[in-house]
Amino acid sequence: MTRSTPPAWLESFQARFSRVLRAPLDRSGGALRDRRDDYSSEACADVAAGEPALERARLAVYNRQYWFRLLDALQRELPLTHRLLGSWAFNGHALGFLEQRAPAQRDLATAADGFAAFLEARAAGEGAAARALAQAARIDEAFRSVLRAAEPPPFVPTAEALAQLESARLVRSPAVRFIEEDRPLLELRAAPYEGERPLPLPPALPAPRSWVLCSTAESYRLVPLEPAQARFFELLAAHTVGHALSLLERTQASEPALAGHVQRWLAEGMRLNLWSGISR
Amino acid sequence: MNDLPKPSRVLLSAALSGLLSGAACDSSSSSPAAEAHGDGGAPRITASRLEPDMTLERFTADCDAQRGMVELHAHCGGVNTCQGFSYDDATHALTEHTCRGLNTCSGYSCVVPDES
Repeated sequence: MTRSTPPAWLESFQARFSRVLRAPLDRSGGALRDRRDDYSSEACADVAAGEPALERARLAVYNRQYWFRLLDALQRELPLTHRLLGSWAFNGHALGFLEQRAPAQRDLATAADGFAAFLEARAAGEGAAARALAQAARIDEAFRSVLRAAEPPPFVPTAEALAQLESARLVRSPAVRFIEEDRPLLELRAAPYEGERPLPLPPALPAPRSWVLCSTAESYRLVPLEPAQARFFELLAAHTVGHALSLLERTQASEPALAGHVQRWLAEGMRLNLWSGISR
Repeated sequence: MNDLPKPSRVLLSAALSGLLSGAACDSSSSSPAAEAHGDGGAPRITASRLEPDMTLERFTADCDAQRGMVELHAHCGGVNTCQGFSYDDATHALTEHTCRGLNTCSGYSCVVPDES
């Protein structure tokens, strides 16, 4: 099927209306306000209102709804970051991001693609609160990735693959992400929240906590990892199995039960479908 | 990185063993616990009791004592990975079961691997 070229008048109308929709909102007065006075007179003339002020008011309805719907979508996609920042600050970041990268997909959730990286870049190296913000954005992005990933079939290693294990890599499943937190952010993510004010930044944990987040058929599963186990899984993500084991032996040489730990950690990883295969 | 020494044979064998022992746990396969129950290996809840004072810390300690692995469930039942025991934080029911997918609702589970 071929699509005919739209008439020039329609393209022109859509361009004018699109500019109205995407006109950035004004945050300077402590509230999000449209800039209706900046709408082009040509766009206003498209509205059959008969009265200039009413034309702009009608266009402003669409302009505000465009932004509010997007802000709502981003708040839903990054609920932890929203709780940590509160609505006003979150929306400020979101508007900055959306002005740089207007969504172009039908799926509204994809409007948040790249927002976590945008927040991490903004938060780089600016104290404890900024570090928490970057960590929160990474956690929200981990949930987004896992919940949208298709769970691969269970990995059943073949004898041939296992014979080459030392020089092979375990391929992480797309439905799995590792999470590290310096503060109890996962609890904060699940906390009731009605929006507006930021939730207090929880105090730092005595030691960082590591988790693995896996998708399931209906939801997701969070499994805490021992620090050494988390370190081992990081090594496996970056190196061949042989190199990862060598590095582990070098750093954990004084651990007498290391072999037992490795066996248990890998067995647990297999039960959780952490890996989708082996690559050379 | 290529100058790294090879891992010890003990550690490599442990890795192989871990990958193999963890490879099979699904609801269609019978577990030793289910077999021992004499029901032909059908997945089932084998015990249930109320534990209104259960906490995640106590559950984790009980799970560690059995060399198990704790899982947190955000939503309702049917999502535990494998045999073990599960705590339903809405009804306070602690259940023991033989297979995956047998936790009752939100809360946490302890996966207790076979001794092999």
